[in-house]
Amino acid sequence: MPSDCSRYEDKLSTYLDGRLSPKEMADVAAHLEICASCASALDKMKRLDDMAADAITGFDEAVLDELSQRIDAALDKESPKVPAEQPLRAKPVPIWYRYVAVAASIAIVFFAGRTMFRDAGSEVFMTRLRPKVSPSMHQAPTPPRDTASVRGAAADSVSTGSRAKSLPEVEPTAEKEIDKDAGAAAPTVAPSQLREDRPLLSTEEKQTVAVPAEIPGKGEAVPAEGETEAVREPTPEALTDKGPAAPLGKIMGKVTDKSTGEGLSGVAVRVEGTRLGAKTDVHGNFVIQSVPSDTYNVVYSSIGYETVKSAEVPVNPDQVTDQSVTMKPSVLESGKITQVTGHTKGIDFNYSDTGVAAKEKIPSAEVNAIDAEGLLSHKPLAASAPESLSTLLPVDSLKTVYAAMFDTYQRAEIQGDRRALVPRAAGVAETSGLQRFTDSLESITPLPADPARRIELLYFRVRANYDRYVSDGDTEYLARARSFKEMLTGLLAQMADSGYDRARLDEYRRELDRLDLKR
Amino acid sequence: MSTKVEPDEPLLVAQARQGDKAAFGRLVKLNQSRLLRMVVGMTGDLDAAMDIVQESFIRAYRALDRFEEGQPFYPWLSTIATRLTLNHFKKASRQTSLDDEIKERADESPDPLQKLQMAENETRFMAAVRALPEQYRTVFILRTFEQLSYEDIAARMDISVGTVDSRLYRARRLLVEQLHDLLE
Repeated sequence: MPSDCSRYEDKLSTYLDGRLSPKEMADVAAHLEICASCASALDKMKRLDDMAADAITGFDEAVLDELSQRIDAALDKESPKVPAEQPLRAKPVPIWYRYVAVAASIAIVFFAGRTMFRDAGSEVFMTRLRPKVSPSMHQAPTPPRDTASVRGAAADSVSTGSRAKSLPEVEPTAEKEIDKDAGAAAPTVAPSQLREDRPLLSTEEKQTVAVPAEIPGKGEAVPAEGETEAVREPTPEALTDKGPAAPLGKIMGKVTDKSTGEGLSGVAVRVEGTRLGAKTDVHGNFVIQSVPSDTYNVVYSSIGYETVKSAEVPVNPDQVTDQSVTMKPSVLESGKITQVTGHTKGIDFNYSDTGVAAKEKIPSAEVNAIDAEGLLSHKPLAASAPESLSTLLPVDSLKTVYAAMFDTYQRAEIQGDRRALVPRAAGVAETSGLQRFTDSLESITPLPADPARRIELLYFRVRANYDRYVSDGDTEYLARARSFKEMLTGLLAQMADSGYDRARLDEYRRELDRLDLKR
Repeated sequence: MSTKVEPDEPLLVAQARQGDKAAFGRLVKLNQSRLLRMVVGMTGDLDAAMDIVQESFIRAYRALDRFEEGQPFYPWLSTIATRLTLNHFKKASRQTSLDDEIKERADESPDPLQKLQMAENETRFMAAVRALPEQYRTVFILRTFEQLSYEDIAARMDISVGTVDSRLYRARRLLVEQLHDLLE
């Protein structure tokens, strides 16, 4: 085997799928010409794919009969369908827009005894399978071409219910109350509340049915061919708590940024007390169809903006109520980002970039809650901040904080300069929270220029990837932890030369040394 | 695995949307085998897969209003099933040590795959797939069973395309190691 084979071996899988750049494709192809070993390895991968194509090509009829009977039985329990107000165009809905309040002030609560993620797949068995060729299984493989368009709808369908249900429970108030007696062991929000364990969607699921994913054009719902207007109209009592069959009106308007005057997209507009709502389009326009005539409160919410409520909005039969509003950037946008709350020896502390309430360093064990948004923001601390977060908190307490984060958040999201952490209760694709969290975080949060913040974030990434590796043995994360450690070690060496607090640097070094990053 | 729209699929979807459960039942018949194959591949567990497939259809039924007309039904359905499967993994990983004990006992039992009525090579293949870390396994199944693009896999699993690439590589490498004699 030529000595540079390893360089090619790593690329064979990608090559097989034709996913390398043209230059690399040619490079690998040239190597395969002269290297029997790599050519053989590629052949094996091809055969592996063929084997996969031939695996489980059919099921015993009894299995399929049982399955369809079970589905039929479950369907029978389903309530009759209520046709939606308008067909959703299945545009992926950015999930952050429902989480305004979460981003406005996030306190992470440390759950003692968190569970990490273990591979559980291997403990199950396959039974009752037999190779049975079904004609439908033997059609030529054709990659789906346009699944992107339906993906959003599916994501929405699976997840909105749990979000709708769990939102009130995770919606933070400005100050999370920490149970001082119970300390770290007492989460403000019980894990069971944060996590979706419901096997089936409840009737609340339908609450989101009327929330359009997209407002087409001027917002007129155009009945699809072959469908009548009457069929497409929602049954008012099904969508609101108002009385039966009230005459319908419409609410429309434009949401603009108070500071810039520009239209705000993605703002969630909800009609309180009903299941009606809409999202603003790219120009900030929205329309909510078929609102039973009455008087409502209309709530506008978006990440990074203060929630606006228009009270007592009248909706009259066959009339359009104009409800244009302006929204003011929330404190998140004003720089008051970094905030740590908790208590030490019975003293509450509240650290923010406007100052530190607790002057003393906080013992790690006492840190109960922290503002993840602030911790992760790449925005530099305001000049008034006497210390950065990492100098305020001992390194090992940061560890605690990160552990809490993994349990609490499943992803970080960003749009423009708005950012948000999505709690795990909002789970869409519930893979490992940590994995999603770290993956998404790394993609959206550039390393800050400020060295102290840079150290913080690098340490976080080492930790996050290492914990992920420990939890499920995925060596990909070990490799990532290593590379972040390398970056951090380099930075620590640099900082030592530039007069940074050496004791502090040593603290980081010791923490890094404790991690076993060898395979 | 064709993803073409069945001739009467749009009609069935439209009827099901109006609450025609028989029409939806027909959609179940048309798609269940293929969906079950994917989920069995991902979970390596027929019982769990049947639960997930059942739930996927029920959720699809509830969400039909949000299904874009004219699109093939299966990719949408399988997206739902993928998410439920990932949920299933997460829930399973939260189980307590009791499960570990059960698992240990199970590991001691002769060969759980004896129960399968599959060809020998197929049995070995599925056992090797089942032994993969679930994140690798899911990517591998979505790629080879479902023929999804890297981008589609990334979107479904909420990971980066680069991660899809590396997991697929690792999955294939591990499987080739395990099955090298079959692949000669």
